[in-house]
Amino acid sequence: MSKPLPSALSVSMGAGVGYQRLGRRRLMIVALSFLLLVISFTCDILTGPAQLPLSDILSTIWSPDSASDSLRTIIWTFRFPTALMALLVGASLGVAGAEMQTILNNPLASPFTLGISAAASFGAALALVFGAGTFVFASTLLVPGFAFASALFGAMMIYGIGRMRGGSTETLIVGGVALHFIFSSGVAFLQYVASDDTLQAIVFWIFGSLQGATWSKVAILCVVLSAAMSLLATQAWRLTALRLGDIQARSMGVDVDRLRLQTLALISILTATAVCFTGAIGFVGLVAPHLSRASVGEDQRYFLPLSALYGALLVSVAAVICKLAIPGAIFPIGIATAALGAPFFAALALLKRRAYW
Amino acid sequence: MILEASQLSFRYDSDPILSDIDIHIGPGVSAIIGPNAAGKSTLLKCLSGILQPEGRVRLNGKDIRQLSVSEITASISYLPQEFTPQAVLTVFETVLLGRLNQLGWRVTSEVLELVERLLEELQLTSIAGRYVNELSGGQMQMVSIAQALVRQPAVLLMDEPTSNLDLRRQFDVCGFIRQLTDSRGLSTAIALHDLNMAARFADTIYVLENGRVRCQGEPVSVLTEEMITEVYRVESRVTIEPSGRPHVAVLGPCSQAPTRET
Repeated sequence: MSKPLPSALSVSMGAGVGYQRLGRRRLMIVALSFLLLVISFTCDILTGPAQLPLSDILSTIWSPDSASDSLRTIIWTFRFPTALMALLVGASLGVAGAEMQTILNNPLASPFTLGISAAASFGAALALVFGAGTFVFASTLLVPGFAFASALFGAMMIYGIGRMRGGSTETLIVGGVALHFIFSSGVAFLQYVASDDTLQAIVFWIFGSLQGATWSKVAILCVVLSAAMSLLATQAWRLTALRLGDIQARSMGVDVDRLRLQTLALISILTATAVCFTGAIGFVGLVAPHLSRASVGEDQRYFLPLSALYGALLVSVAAVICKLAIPGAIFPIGIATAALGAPFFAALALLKRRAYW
Repeated sequence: MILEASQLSFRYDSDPILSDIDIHIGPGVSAIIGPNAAGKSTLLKCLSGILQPEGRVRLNGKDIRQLSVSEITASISYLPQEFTPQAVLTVFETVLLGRLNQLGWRVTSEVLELVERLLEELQLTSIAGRYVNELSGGQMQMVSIAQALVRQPAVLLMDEPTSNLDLRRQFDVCGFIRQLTDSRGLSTAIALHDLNMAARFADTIYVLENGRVRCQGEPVSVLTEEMITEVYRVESRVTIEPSGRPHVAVLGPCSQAPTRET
């Protein structure tokens, strides 16, 4: 305490070594999670309504041209896109939830807190009610298109509210919650006026489903997720600094309001893209960031990729469980992610040894 | 480096918080004292560029509004009064964030060593691996101080940096800041409640009252029994120590409101 801070830096490493060791441990956790994800993805490919021998599946994967049409269709048209969609949607929701909790400084924030999911559900319900006459067209193009447009419209409204009032967390949360209830009441009204078949379709969409995944949808989501994660990675340290509080971050030179609104815009597009293809898969965006935070803390260099990996893992494992629990049936994935994620979430809250928020 | 403000005024909505402030923060330690709600914190936020006041704030003669955020933060380090983060970040990571503009995907060994050395100087090495959301108020304040110092600023603005510290730590921290200020030629401004800390460690004292500078000068000329009675409404006895610095003994609250000269 008595000596001034030296300018020449030639000291033995102590706390710095501990920090570097912590970094290596976190990298190991990220690598291990990736390995688990690969295992889960493999299980997802190997399981399905059609009971196929392992050798047939493997030969179809290695040499698609020599496989029969039916096998090729099952593996390459259905299972691969569906399994990849599970990973991408889970990763998207995990990333969106992590950044939503970061910018809103709120542990209960998720992609659905600010009404983006409700907006997507409203758009999908609107398409299902008014496009019911052309059901095939409705389910492939109209529903995702309306869901995306509506989610983006909702996100733009929140962005507008945020810009008007300086982007404070309180403004964004209050505006988002209000929007959530407005869109939810809209969905309820559409359910009320819908025919029985359409009502069933709306309910199924809201539960979330990976059915209908195609290579083009996978490619679109892959591009959006990669772009979002790359842009967020460039702001990793600033987003980390945001968790020390607005004033502290400002004093470090972070343009807090701008960063918050830019991040909000980015994760809104990501959420809208993810949910427009699969419906509202709940709980992933809430629980994945909490598990990630408990594993590697909130240095965004680890927190961001691990939230993506945990989100992907949660949806992928849920997809496998759905197929094994009720063979042959199309079980809404959203129910399984909530059933799987909730115990993890509760265990984290009840058994934790240290405060994770 | 010199940070100065002239005719500085600031209002929250329509409530005036600061009015016509002239202040000069040059090399050495300037203490800003005054009762609660006098405007000390707001003044430091205006000087650091966090709030946009009316009037002029100049850094080495340049209007602060014409400087970029990175230019301001490269020279001025502001330590907020409140620091109670809920982040799951270790003490080391939190202090490291003070070098935000130097941090890339990989953290260089120079930055790591700088943080490590500072933690040693502030006796924080033993808690370097602990999460900040698990620390006591005093420990959090020390971490916040470390984060302000790791930026190696030319101008240091600290808002009540010792409010949560025990007596010994208050002396240690103020002594450390004083020494750092002298050895590096820093221009330091500290908002303080403890008049004796201000008397002991400051070169210049500014007394704020109702958003205006009531008086300024060397501790011995500013810290008078009359000023303390009128500004703080307490009776006191001020004695001059062998070092030539004043010492304030507070006797108790004034029995009646003092009459003010106009």
